[in-house]
Amino acid sequence: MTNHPILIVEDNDCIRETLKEVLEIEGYPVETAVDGKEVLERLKQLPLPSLILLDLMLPNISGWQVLEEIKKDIKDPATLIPVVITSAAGDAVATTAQKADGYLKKPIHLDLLLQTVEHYCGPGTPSQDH
Amino acid sequence: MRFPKYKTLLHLFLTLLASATTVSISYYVLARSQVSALGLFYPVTFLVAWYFGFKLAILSTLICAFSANYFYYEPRFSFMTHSLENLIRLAIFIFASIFVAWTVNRGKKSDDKFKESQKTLAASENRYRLASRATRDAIWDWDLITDEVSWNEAVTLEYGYPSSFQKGSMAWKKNSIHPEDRDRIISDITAAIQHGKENWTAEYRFLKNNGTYAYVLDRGFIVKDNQNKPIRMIGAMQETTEFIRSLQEFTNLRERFRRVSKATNLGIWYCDLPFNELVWNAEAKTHYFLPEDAQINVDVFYKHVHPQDRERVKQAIEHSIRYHSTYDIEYRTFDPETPGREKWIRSIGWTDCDLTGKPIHFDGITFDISALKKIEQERKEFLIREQIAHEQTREALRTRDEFMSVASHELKTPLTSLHLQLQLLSKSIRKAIENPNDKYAKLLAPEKLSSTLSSCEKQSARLSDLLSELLDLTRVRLGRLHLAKEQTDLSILTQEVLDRFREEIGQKGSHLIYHFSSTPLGNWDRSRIEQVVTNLISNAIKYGEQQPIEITVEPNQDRTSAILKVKDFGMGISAEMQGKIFERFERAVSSQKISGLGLGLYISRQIVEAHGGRIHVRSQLQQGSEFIVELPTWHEGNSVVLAGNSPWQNLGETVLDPAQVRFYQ
Repeated sequence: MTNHPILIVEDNDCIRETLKEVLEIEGYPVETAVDGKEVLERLKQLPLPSLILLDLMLPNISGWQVLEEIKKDIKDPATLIPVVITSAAGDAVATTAQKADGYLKKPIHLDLLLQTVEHYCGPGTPSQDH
Repeated sequence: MRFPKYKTLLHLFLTLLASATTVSISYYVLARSQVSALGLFYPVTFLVAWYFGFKLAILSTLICAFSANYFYYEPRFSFMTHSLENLIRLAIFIFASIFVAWTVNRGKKSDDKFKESQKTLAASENRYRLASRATRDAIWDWDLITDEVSWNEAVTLEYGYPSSFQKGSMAWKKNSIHPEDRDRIISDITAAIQHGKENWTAEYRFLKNNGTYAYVLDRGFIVKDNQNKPIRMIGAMQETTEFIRSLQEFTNLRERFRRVSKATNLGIWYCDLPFNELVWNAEAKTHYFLPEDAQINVDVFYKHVHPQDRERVKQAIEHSIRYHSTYDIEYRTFDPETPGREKWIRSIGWTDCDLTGKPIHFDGITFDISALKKIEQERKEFLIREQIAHEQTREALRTRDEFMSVASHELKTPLTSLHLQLQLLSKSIRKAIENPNDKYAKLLAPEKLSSTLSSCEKQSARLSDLLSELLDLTRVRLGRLHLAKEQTDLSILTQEVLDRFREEIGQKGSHLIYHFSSTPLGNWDRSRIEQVVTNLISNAIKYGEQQPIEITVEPNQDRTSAILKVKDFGMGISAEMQGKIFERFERAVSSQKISGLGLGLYISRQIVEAHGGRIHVRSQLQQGSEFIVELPTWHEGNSVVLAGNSPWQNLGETVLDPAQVRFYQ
């Protein structure tokens, strides 16, 4: 499990860095991407992420398109990666959320984030930090 | 040879029978009395001559003469005669009898003739009576010598006078003429007689016995004697009251019809077929731009029909005449003398046919429907405008919704960041209190803490910027953009703004190229102009794709305005978008690539225009964009511009003391 990083997809530097910081303190391996294109590139490589935190409003390829791509081919092992949406958009999310595995509304509640991550990835390993 | 008629044979037979009977009777009488009985034969001759004619009377006479000779005179039963006396007697009898027969026959003929003429006269009188009754003419016969007038029975039947009036005097007839007509008629008839005329005709009113006057047409014939002296006048008086009334009615109807067609502007036309002359009323002529006295034929008609409609009208007319169908068509007429004058006309017509089905008339009406057509046209245009306005409203609503969505996303992004960092700090503090060695405690190290707080500050500043942008939008929309004007130098102001961006430009790997020339001072709101410059430079950095940014400040040719040019070498703006970027809620590229509300250029334009200036863009895709701002500067001539070309001008301090102005060298 520890080899599989959590992929944070967020175009806002500040949010992205803060999320990364928290999850690293909690002992999860973290990778980041700033747009959809980068995510799809990353998914061609191994190891696959254990969880994707996906913002929807992304430059180049939007979060909706990314989600569509990931869940498209059921034979692809990437289909099995849980995707949690992080977005401020309201109703549009509800439809997309059906395809996604979870949903965190912005502004993100920190404890809820940690619970969600633990749900999909198990508890973090604090030793990672050291 | 003609076979004798039955009647002639009967007469012959009866003649022979009468002669034989007379001979027998006379023989019987002679045998007894010895008296000459020739006298007995005369009645036979008389009767035969009277009833059967002269020829049979001669035959009867001869039979009687020969019978007498045969039977009476010696030698009896022989036609031989020995006595001269008897021979003379016989001869006298024959002559006398023939004479009697001739006389009787003549008398009979004249009697027949008389009877015949009596009959003819009666028939003729009867015919005349019936004819005069049929025509209902009152026939009068005026004897000029005795001055007596006799009337036929029409004077009773038609004029209601008792039959005793059928014999009257001329004085009565004259008195029966309406007083208004009397003198005229009397002098007229007198003149006709005196001047030896044969015929006389007059129309006047004649009194009926019931006290009303009848309109009459009186026609007379003057009869003259051998000396050519008028002795008699015969005339027929025909009542024309009904005719006069019909004529009056017809005149009234025509007048009413004319008024109606005038009041309703109804054109009426009719023509005989095949087309020759067309008859139009005045209204129809005005429909074709023709004067009231114009002569119309089919060529004039077509000449005034709009050339584009001519063929269509022609076909409609031909169709109506051929199939006897109603002709109903709308077309334009025009004035060939004055181009551009047009009318819309609706024409309805009917074809009338004779008994054999051959079309003989083509009649109808026209009316001017120009006003109707105009309303129709306006309605169509109105509907189109409505449609466009509706589309525009929808588009505006859609744009606004999109803007709201972008705005809320833009606001939530720094808010999320801020919220997250504050939660993290709060959690760290909690953890550090519980256990100072907790892994979260390291976030509270002074260096880390300082960086976090600086980030928080940045986010809140970003929030504040967004909010003031929204506030500006509201101000501009409500027309409350206040300008606090002061002497401002565009070069200095631009340099100050650039100083603030120097670091960011360096970080982005871009660099500045600038050309500054001295410009006259302007009377502007310094902070608002700063806002414009900031917006343009930050756009250039945002869209410039790390290429150099070229800034130019210079005066225009006659130094009446200052010009700022901000040029980047980035993605550029399509021609279509160039017209839109200064509108509200518009951004040239999709919102996912570049953050911001997309209000910058809109607000900039409002600010520049509020200063009486203008802003525009020159751009080509993939080659970059150049934004040019032109602001009027203060000088003697342009006080008008300063005084207020824009709704916001007067809200700020607009009056500038020339003494305080110093030109930048």
